[in-house]
Amino acid sequence: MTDRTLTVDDCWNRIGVWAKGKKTCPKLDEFIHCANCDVFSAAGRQLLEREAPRGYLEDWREIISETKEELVVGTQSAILFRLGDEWLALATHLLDEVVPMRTIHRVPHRKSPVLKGLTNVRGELQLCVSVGRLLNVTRGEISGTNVVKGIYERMMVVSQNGQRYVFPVSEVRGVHRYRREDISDAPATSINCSVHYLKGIIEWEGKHVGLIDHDLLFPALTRGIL
Amino acid sequence: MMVLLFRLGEDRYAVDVKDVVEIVPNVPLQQIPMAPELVAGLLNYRGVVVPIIDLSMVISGAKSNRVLSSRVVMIKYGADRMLGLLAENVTEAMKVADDMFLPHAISPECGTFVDGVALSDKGMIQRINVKAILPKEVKGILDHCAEYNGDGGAKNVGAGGD
Repeated sequence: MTDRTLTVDDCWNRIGVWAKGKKTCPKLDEFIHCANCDVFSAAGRQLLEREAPRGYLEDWREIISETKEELVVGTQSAILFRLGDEWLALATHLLDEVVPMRTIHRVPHRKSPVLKGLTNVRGELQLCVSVGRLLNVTRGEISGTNVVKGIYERMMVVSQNGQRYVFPVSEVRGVHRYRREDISDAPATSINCSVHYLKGIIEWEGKHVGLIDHDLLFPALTRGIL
Repeated sequence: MMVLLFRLGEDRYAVDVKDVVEIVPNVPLQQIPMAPELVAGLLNYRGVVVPIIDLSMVISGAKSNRVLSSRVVMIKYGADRMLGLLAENVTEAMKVADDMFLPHAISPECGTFVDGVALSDKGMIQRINVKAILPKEVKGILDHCAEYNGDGGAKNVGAGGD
C-alpha cells in the first residue's frame, strides 16, 4: 500500500471561523460559515483521494454481503390516547398538537353534550368538544393525573379541512405505526364505546385500540356542536 | 431531479438517483476468468451475486483508481436485476432542473450511452443512461448468465459470492 501524503491548506483554521485571531477570510461575507464554503468541502473530498486503510474494505465486504433487514413498508401512523378505560387511535396527520389541560369556558345558551365550550390554545379560542361523549365512552376507573405512573390528562388539538377541535383525553401515549392488514373489525362487545365511529381495532402491547374513522368523526363533531 | 455525480479525469458524469439503490465502497471483488475487461468482477451484494462494471474502463479504457473516492454505485437494471457501476470520484449529488439536460448531439444509436448534457457552474455534466450502459457483447453475456440462473436475475449463483 503506497502512502500518498496530502497537503491540505487549512485556511479555516488560519483566517476562517476557527481562526484564533481575526477572521479575515473575504469569503466569509458570502458564506458566513466555512462549512458552507466550497474550499472547505473540496478539502474534505481530498481526504477521499487516498487508499483505504488496512482492513477497511474487507470489513465493508462483510457488511454488504449481509442481507438487509426488510423495511416494513406501507405502514400508517396513528396517535394513541386513552379516554377513560378505552384506548383509541386517530390518524397522526390530523393532530396539530397536544397541550396541557386548561380551563374550558362554557358557551352560554348552548346545551350540547358534545360541545364542552371554548378553550384558549396559543391565544386563540378553539372549540372544545367531548369525543368521549360522542363515542359513548364511560369515564372508567383510571381517571385523573397520576404523576407516579406517568399519566397526565391532556388536550389534543386536531384539525381537518380547516375545522379545528380541541378535546380532553385521559392520557396520550404517542405515535404507533400499524399495517393496513393489522386492522381487524371492531366487534360491538369487545370495546366499551360506540363502534360506529371506528374503522376497526388494532393491537398495541396486548391492548385493543379502537381506530377512529376521522371521515366520520369530524362531520359528527360538527353536527354535535350545532 | 437529483443526480449523483462522478468524475473521470476532468469530465463530469451524472446518474439519475432514482436508478441508484446504494453506494458502497470499492471492496475486493471476485474475479471472473476470461471475462471482458469491462467487468471488474462479481460482488456478493446482500446475498445476491451482482456483476460490477468498471465505468472508467467503459468510458476511457483505463481501470479505476483504487482510492476511497472510487465507489460502486448499485443500480436497478431491468425489472429485478441489479448492476454495480465502479466509478471514480463519487463524492457529490446535485439537484438539477429536469430540462437542464439537453439531448446529446450524437444519437444513442451511435453506441453512446450519454443521453443528455447539462451546463453547470463547474462545467459540463453528461448524464448516463444506465439502461444503455453495457456494450452489446457484455449485455449478451449477462443476459445469458441470467437465463442460465433461471430466475430472471443474477441471483443465487452461490450466495457466498467470494
